Amino acid sequence: MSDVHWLTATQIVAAYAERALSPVELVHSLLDRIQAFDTGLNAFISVDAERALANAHLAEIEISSGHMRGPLHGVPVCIKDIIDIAGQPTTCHSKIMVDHLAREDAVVVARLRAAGAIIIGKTALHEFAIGGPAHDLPFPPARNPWNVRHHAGGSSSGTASALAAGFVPLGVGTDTGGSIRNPAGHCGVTGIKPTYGVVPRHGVFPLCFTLDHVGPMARSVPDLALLMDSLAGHSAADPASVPGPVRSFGADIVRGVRGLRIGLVRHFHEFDMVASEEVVASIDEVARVLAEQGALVRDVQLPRLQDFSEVHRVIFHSEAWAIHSKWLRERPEDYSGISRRKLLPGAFLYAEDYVRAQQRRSQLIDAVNDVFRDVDVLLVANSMDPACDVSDDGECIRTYARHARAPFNLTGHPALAVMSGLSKDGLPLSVQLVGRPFDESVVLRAGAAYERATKWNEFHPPLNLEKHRATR
Amino acid sequence: MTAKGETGKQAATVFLFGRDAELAKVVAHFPDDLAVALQSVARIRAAAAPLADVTTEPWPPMQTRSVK
Repeated sequence: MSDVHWLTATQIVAAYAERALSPVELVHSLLDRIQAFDTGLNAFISVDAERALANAHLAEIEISSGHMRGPLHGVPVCIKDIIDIAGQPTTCHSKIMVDHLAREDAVVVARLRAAGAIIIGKTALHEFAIGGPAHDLPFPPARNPWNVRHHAGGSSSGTASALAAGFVPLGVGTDTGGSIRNPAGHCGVTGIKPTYGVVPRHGVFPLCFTLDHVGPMARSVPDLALLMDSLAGHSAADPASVPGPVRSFGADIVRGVRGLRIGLVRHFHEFDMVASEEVVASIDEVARVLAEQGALVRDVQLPRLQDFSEVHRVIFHSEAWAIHSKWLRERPEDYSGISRRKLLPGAFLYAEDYVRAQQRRSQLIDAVNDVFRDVDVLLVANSMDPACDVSDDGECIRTYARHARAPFNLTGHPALAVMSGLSKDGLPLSVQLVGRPFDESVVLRAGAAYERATKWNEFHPPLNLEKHRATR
Repeated sequence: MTAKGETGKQAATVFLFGRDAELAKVVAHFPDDLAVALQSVARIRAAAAPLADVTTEPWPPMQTRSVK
């Protein structure tokens, strides 16, 4: 089988079942590819080749003898290095945590193991999932495979970069203000921030307790559903975990969007924060494609994007400060400059600011839920600009703040990022599809229909081995 | 006030706020970061929409804790 690195997890599972591919062959191929290209991309902080190959051999024996551990048996996956794997460092891409060894698996890692997944390694991120692309950290920032001079997005930068480069078919990220959806968008892959409480956070280093989400990233929407089936479900270890049974997230994935009511939140990107022309055109095209597929698309009105951002910022700074205050007082020099500047505002916010923000949050959630009385899915901008040049600090700071992702960390609604085109410079564009709480399957259904109609998920970055060798 | 006086006043403000927040090391080594943080908080407060009803229930940050 050729080009196995571009197989989706769904295709890998099918190929294993048909004995057309072996886990050992696949893992060998991916490790070779990582070795060839990752020096130029920095997607991985660590690769556990030995254990991955050992697990691949085991999976091969088990699968060939008909013993299937679970739906991801033999499927390679990467883990953002803010998530604990027992016996391995969880560095959070930070000097502060560089020697921290995890004692036990995070709930999501334990679930991946139970499902039979093979963990390839741990991926780069923005420091503590808050910083930005920084060069004063123990590890270099991940690069965008579509153009290594450009920002991979963040904070789950390495996971998105690894997926886009064909290093792994699946990855796990975290999202507090858009950290799954931003890198997914910039790297031309897909990712979903599930409903708050659906995927347990225990074993993930926190950034903001009430905004943090853990979720899957992949190169196709059906793969997100496959991974969600293994990640989701109640855990007593996470006090925010939602009780109740988990459905199959992919049950409706091929149903299409005929009759689905989609609300386009046009004012976010045309008035509240004016997006680049390419992004505006791309969103209009997504609306057109969905309508062509039978969806009923119309404009809807939410509160202003700024209303969400203001509330998000207060909660974000307050909760992050509660976690980082001790270290920032004792060893501020061990943070990157960009993280310090993002964390320090929390020192000067009052309890009143925080409680007011949580009160406003309640109102914003009600306002979004009101809109969902008349529509099933929202179509929303992701980033307002294509990925910037990662060496241009000013442009990175400016464009990083221009997005429409934070509202759904605040409200907890599930939000999917899907690729929606390429910019004139050949960089991926992306939109969000947002659903009612616990309606991930509807969001995934809409995303899968769009993906089938456009095939954007089949576009891959033109990685060139010689060029990448030259950048080492 | 002269530009020099304004700068001095800003530095004193950063020093006082930083000291009150027990951020002596940050004051000493990264005063610019502290100044940026103070400006950021001022902008956040200025942008905060007033709440018509102060008895509005805040969003409950956690579910009832599960039995372990």
